[in-house]
Amino acid sequence: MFEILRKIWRTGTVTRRQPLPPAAAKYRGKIVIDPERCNGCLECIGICPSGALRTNCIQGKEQLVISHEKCIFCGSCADNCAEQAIKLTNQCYLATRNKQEAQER
Amino acid sequence: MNQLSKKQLVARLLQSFGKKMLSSRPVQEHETELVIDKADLPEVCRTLVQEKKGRLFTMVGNDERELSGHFALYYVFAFDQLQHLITVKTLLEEADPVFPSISAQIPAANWYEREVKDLLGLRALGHPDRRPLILHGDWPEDQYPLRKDFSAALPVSRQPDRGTSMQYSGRDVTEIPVGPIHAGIIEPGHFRFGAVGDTVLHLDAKLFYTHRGLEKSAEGLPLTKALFTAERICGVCALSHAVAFAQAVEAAAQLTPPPRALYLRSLFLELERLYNHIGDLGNLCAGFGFAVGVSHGSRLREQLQQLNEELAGHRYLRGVIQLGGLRLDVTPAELSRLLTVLEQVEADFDELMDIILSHDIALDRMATTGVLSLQQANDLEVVGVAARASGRAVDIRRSHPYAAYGQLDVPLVQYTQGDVLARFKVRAEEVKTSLQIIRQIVCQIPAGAIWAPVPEIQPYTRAMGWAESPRGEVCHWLMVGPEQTVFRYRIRSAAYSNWPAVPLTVPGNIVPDFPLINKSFELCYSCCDR
Amino acid sequence: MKSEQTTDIELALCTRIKQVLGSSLHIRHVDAGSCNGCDFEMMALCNPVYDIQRFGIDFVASPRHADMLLVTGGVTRHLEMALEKTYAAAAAPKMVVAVGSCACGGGVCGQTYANAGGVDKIVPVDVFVPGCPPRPSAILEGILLALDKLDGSRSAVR
Repeated sequence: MFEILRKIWRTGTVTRRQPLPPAAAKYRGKIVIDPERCNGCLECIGICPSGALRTNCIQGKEQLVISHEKCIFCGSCADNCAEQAIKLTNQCYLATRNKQEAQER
Repeated sequence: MNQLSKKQLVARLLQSFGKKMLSSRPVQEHETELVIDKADLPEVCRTLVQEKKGRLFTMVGNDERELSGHFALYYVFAFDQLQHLITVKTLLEEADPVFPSISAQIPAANWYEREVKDLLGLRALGHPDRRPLILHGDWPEDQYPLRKDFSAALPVSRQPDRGTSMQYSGRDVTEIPVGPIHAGIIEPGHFRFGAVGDTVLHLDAKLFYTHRGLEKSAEGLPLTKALFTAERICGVCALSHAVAFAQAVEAAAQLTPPPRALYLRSLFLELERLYNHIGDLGNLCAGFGFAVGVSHGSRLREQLQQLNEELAGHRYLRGVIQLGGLRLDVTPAELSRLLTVLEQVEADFDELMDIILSHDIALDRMATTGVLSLQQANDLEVVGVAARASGRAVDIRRSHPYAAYGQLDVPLVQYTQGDVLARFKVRAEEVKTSLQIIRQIVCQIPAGAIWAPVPEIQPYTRAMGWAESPRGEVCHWLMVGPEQTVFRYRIRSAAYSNWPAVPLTVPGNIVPDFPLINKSFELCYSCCDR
Repeated sequence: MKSEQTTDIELALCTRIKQVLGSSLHIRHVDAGSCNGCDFEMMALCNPVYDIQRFGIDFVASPRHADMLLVTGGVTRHLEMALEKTYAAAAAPKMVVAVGSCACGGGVCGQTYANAGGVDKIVPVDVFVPGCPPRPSAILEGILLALDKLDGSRSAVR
């Protein structure tokens, strides 16, 4: 009993005050596409293992978009993009109320 | 053992089959395939297991009608002393897809034979249990998803349920059905207890609720994409599955990844074992309501998973492996940070183990509960922690070294009691050996490349990969199709080998001990169900 | 939990729960065929580091006691009925949060003979939490988002 109490005392509080802390720098989170850099080769669409990438017509222009609700955050697209138009960020807070929102960003 | 004597031993082993052996050929460096007639299956398999002391490693059914016009069955036996695998192959006619069952002599074959019936329509004659296994009672009897002509696009209708659960009756016998949705945050399975008062007479476990059809969905995928499927077979064994799949591909391509990649694989595999074992040990305490153990265990696990995220960018170490090596390297700074964290964790963990293992109630609940005898473990070819706690010395890191384990000292942890306490102690000691192994790796790790390109693989080459996951060995059997795609992928996880043993350990214990027994095995459902 | 400084999110979370569901939110977890990664992250929410109980949120044993279902996995054929029954058993107003890539859009398994490929194909979903698996704190964010949702027009209906 004494040992248990001593252990609890020594460990102290480990609970995080901030409930939504940022992820580690290496964390593979939200994927950001730079439409300026993208040359439209669309190799990434073939590489994506979960079919999360597709093209969409935005303001009269075919653009690459990612559906975060399908994405498995493997980072293959970013690794293989010759133009470095796809970047992984460590942003992990992606909850959304409607699927459309997850698809369009 | 030198290479020559091993070759001779294997040759002598094969000679004993004489004319039964239609042909034989070496497949990979560590595997010999022999083809036999299906009528000889029971005798050859029995000889391999009972006389030659092989253990059933995996069994695979394959639809090879487009190759040879036949279905094929592969029974793979592991010979730990020889560091060799022997595959017994037999062909089945399309018109007559039946074969003699070996389950009566080799109980471990039970599930494999039921599985090929469900998924490929190959029926084992004389099998003692004809209930469906993978596909539940409402699946139509004439649809076999792993046949190549099965159309995945068509929806499959539901039939009236053919009732596949055990029914208990009799005076004073109570039937207690539990699941598939359980009370805690755990995976789905249906358990039916036949109990008299508090004491369990019999337990029937109906699993495969999380069967997602991964083996079918992997077929036709490029190997690079199938790796991500392999990583998602299971959350907590993700890395072991990824390594096993990558090794299967590398074996098919006859590629050895650079040494640094091999060492890093071992490093991450041990990190996976660490967070699992420590978390499982804490969680085991929930089985007897010891909240202090649960809290400290989950706190340490969290610390290790945060370390994983720091090193690999993923709390479950997904995205670490690449075919031919690794995707990411670890810097010296990260390695020293790793050692610092592990030192803290070790001191903390030692204190926790002292507290739990000196607590009378904890010991009282764990000792003599849920005993798995050595005989049962051997008959069912149990692997991993559960096997080693029952005195069965299987650890594939030692018997068939992969990654860098051939160059590392991997001590065997073994207990003989086979109860919950023995499984607890095996885990606790394996945490210590894992830490030792990690320190060895950090000292020995060579510099250099972490990846080598995978050469082109000939269509219909087959190969195997394996790894010791935190729950025991996983074995991936792969046949590569045209244009570097998957033709057939069979995943045999540790949970698949061990689940049949769990119901055997429960009778005679009280119903409230079941959660404890179940936690002491700590088997994944998703690994098993795929 | 004593606090010298309460962060904004902590405050927001507590006030929403208090407004909507008194001082407690009860969650039932439903594994509809996940790889168990999401399940273990959910379990991590209960560990001392995240300690979800301090917000008045807790996991309960029965859907009858639950205000919210946290569903993981892409809904396998064998669990479709179990999910439907669990959904029916939960007390209204109920919220459904789909946790993880498989639950949100099928993930790497997609649609197979045994997998439906998304929770929203079986039951209505209020919030999607992408991630493979999402970190425990990301699941917490999803729960918070769902609580805001309940205030909207659908709350009267369901």
